[in-house]
Amino acid sequence: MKSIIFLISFLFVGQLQAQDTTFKYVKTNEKKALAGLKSVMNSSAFVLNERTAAENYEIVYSYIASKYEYPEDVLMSNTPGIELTIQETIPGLYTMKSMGFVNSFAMRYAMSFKTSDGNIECSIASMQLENPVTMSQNMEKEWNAMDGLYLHRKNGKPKKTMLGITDIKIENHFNAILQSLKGSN
Amino acid sequence: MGASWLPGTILLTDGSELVGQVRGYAYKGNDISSFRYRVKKGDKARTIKAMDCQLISYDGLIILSLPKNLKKKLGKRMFYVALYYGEHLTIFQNPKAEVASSYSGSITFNEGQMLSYLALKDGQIFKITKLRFRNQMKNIAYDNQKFMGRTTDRSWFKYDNIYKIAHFYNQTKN
Repeated sequence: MKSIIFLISFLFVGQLQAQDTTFKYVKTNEKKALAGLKSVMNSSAFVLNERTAAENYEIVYSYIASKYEYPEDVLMSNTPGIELTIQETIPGLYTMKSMGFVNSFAMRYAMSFKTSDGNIECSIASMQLENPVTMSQNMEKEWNAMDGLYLHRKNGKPKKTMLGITDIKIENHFNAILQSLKGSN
Repeated sequence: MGASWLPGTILLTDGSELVGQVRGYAYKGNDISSFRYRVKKGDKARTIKAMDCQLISYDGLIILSLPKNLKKKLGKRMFYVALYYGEHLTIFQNPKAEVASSYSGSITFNEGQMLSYLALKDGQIFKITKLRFRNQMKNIAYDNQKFMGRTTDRSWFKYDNIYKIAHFYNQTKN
């Protein structure tokens, strides 16, 4: 009996350790005409700790409350003790450098925090990039879906305007959120 | 809104759901008069009019079926596009809204902006105009104390922020 429990707990811990604990862009083989090779970021990462689900929920809510005077502005859904989903707009998060000039655009995304005993699962969904040219009839900015970054040309050569700039800034932004949640332990 | 078949869900008047493919079928001016629905490609399509349904979720939009004459709840119905859909308060397009436009010799800020919206709350429809936005919004949202407390922040409580304001109302309403 003991050996079965040990095996189950070993498998469970092993599974958790196999989960990502940071966000990182990885190059894929998917090609798009003109754009190049696509890189995608893992959609979820875990913050591992020794807290209960309820305590982890409090950590996430306190983090959001510390960032926004009115957390309700960014909260999309809230299931107390279980899950929180926010939608944030970050000005200048998408950055490219070309010929010494820096071009920055806002990004919008939905981020879910699923709280369990011993971990917080942070998932990013519906990442969108501001379209600075168009504006809808309702004077709202228009957003284009962004399911990846094209950091390499079709021949595999890196794009100097983006690789190490665009991806790092986005990764750092999301990893800073993970660090804030870890720091709350 | 395109004329191609796209995944969509239709909530019928009796509360049942149709899940499949949907497309706008006929247009009168800019208004959608009906939708076509089919389960999958090759199936026979059926026409869904505003009288037949409550809501259509299609092409990233939520389209509501509401009375054509907003004062007559039981009269003819038509489709309205929801601009912000919330649990308690929904903001949708006013088909009769005036649009900010410039004429020769004048400068108009926010050209193209709609000067009124419609709001749906507790089954009642309210008109919200740019000119009287603050008073009208307070009359709609008087039942939410946290919301009313924030209306003193005039940089937030303004017409251009209407979706964020409606979202805050929904999030803070018990």
